Amino acid sequence: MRWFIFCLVLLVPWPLLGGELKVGEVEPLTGFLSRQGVALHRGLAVALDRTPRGLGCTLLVRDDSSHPPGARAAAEDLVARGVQILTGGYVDSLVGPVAQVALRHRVPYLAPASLMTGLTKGENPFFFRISSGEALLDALHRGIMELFHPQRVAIFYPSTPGATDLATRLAKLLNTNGARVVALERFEPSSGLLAPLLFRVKGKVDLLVSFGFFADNVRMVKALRRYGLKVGEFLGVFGMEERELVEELGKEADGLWGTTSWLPHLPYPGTEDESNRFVEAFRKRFGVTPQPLAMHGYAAGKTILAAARFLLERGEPLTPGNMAKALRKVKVLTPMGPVSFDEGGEPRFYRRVIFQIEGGVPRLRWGE
Amino acid sequence: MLGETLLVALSLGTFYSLLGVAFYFSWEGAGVVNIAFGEMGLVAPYIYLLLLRKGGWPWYAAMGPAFLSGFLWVPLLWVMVKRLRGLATLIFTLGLAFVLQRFMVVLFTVDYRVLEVKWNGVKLGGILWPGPFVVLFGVSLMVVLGLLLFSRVTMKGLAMRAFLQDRTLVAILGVSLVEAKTFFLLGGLVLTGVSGLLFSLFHPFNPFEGLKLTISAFTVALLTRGGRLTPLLVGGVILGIAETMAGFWAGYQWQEGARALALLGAVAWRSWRDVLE
Repeated sequence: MRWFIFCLVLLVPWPLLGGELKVGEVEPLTGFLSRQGVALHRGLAVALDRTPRGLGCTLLVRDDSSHPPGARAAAEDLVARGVQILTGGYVDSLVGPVAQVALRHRVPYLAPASLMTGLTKGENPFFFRISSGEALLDALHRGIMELFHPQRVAIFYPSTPGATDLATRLAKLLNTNGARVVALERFEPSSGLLAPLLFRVKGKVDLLVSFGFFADNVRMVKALRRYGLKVGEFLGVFGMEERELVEELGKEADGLWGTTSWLPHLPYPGTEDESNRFVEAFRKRFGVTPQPLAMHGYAAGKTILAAARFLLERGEPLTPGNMAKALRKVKVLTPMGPVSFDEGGEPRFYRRVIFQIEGGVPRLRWGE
Repeated sequence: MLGETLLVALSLGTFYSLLGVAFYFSWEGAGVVNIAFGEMGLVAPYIYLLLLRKGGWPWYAAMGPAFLSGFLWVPLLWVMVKRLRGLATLIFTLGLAFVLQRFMVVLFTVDYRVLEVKWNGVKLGGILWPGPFVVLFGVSLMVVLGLLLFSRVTMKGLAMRAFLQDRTLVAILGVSLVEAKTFFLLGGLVLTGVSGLLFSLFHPFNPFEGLKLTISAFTVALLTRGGRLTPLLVGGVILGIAETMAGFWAGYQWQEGARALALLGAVAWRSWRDVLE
């Protein structure tokens, strides 16, 4: 009996007992990006609910009001409160300031939704992200050429750093591959006057690519339908997979194209069970089906916990420096694909598929 | 699509004229350079939404308090009219704008909201004029033309116009200066509420959108002096057309450029006129 107890004591993962992790989340919970911020926050919260035994996890949340100064101030506040890792943020104008704070205080920052190339090409060893602009661009470019074979394309993008970067680079790629980009137009998110922009490309293109967010896309599609404008196919890069889009547009949503990393019925192959468990847990906690973007928050949360566990198993303290090192080493499989990072903090893999709405449901058309 | 764009431009331009009149009343009439104009205007759609969604009021009933929301600022502005002059009013209202912004953020958050107009609009010879823009044009034009007629036809209107031209003379003629200032202050505030409500029909708004309204109103208001309202009507329409057509012909970035150029042009024109006089 004594030997049995001794063996049990030896088997207990002692390093897992007593670890305390404080996660700081800066999210646009109000303002024009609140829809995205709330989705990311909820996904993160579901992931952190599954904290492994022996690890205490506290989530401190701050709202940046969708404004860069708010993001900077929130990150400073969280660092002052002793968080070991920062996360959250949507669009690079909000992610950038938090990344700067992370670098200054040498605290790792895992951004769930950031795309601008420059952020992982610079000298910030504390910056990591779940999404990848390069991978998205590659999927967009190949998907567009294979699905639409377009002759003339219009690209509209909001004046955010990530969207600007991606839109201009996509235009170059398409131009060099035989498709002619006849309009590359920037617009202000939540602008009141999108119609004149659409009039400019009416009948001149066979594909309109919009980098706008959910509300911009809804208003664009409504204006297209109201005026009966023909712009060929409409591909919205962000927010087209949201359930509310179909609710807003009804039958007018059919035929529209979008891209996504995850949907409850389109998980990464082999992760169906985990995807279903996530949907269940999300519904139980928030009473609604998860928005697709919530998976980015979930993936960030799962990766943070994996890094903490990695350290505890090796008996190393959960310091910000160690968390940064651990993030470089962990490999996590999530329902939106595997997550691991290169030296610059860029993900080695980022899944993006193209779908078309049919009967109110997004159907996979390109990618897997 | 030129026809559709021109209709949108015309609607926007007429709305700018209304903004100009509202700002001008407060500026030259009451002597307050109201930098908090946009923020005060935005209170109207928030009140409307509050009554409509939380209070369960029908839309037409909620309109009244929203239009009259400008009266909320009467005591504050009246104290300012009595105690402050020129630059001091500008600084005071600038501070007020920040306070109002924060106040609205606390009460209504920074989420964008839109007043949906379900009406699809009218077709003029195959050219669609969308519902929100028809309302924008109709209400703005009615108000501006009404004021134009009032200032030219009625005795009261003529007295108010004379007040804007020469205060000493109208005082000698027996026009009450306090009454005239009250007229412009209250009139300007009602028009501010109307402007805010109309803005929310075609533009998503949050507490930080007020500055856009203030800049447009200021640009148009610069174009007139001495109680002449016609330059405001014409100037507003030109600004609306320039901004929209720049967006249509050259792209959205030029829409912003046209707005900035219009402001610079209006300031230069006003300075030139002031030097001449």
